[in-house]
Amino acid sequence: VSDLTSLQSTALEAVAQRLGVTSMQAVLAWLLARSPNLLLIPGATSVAQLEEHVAATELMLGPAELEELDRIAGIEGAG
Amino acid sequence: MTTTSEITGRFPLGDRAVNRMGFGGMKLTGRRLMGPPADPEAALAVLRRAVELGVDHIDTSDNFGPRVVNELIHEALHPYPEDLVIVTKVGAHRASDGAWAEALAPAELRQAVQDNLDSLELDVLDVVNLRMPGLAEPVERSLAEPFEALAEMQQEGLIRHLGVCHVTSDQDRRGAEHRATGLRAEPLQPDPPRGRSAHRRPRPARRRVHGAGRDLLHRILPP
Repeated sequence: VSDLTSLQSTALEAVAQRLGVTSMQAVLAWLLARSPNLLLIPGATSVAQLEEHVAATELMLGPAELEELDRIAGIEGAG
Repeated sequence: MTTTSEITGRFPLGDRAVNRMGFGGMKLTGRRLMGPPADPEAALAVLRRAVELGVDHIDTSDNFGPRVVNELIHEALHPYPEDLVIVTKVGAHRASDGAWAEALAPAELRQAVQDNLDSLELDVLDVVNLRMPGLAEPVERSLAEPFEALAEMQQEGLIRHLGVCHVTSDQDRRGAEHRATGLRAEPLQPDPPRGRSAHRRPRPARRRVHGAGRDLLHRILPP
């Protein structure tokens, strides 16, 4: 998330806010949805941050959000 | 709508399945991946909580710190839960000033595997990824020699599964082929008991060789 341009960041925050989650959670859920053979290994330096990441596994993204997140990530023709 | 089970489904990692949400230990160091973290107690708490929450896949390297992350994992979680898969990587050496140097010679890889076994206090490493050189981008280069060296250690029973890391798709394919068709492919037999106890168990001479690509990992290490 820290590697995003400010434009991407703003767009991502908007999606996350709509879903009622953090930007990081939206990104993690998006990654999990992108491919079933993708394993995530986010790091965390606090229990709160870790719990935030793990909670992202409960997040269900619909096709619209997935498409929007694809677009933010600059992935063409996905979704 | 994507369902939760599709999102969180388990994925085979070697001969076991892990939750797709794992934990990366890299951040549990001081600045620039050197030295202890600012709050070691918090780091230990994070690792313990991760396992409590069902994380059963931890990614590490003896180069993080160096040794710091492996030692924290050891302190927080040893003796390890039976279902925890610890994935480590070798192929680089960390100098005392923090500089990274390539360490792909067979002797260096053997030392790295031994360092991981020691700091994690394991008899067998679950998964060892061969981290090929290159900073932002992987470089095209043969991984035959280092992979052979690791396969030999796998044969000796020090490593359960091999993966590759920071490779091009071509290197990945060759690594998978190497394992699938290499000299060491033997008829399948049951895996030996997992060596997590302080007592070493006898190791069989033959190790299982898995199908191409099944447990390969593809990851990019941040510079």
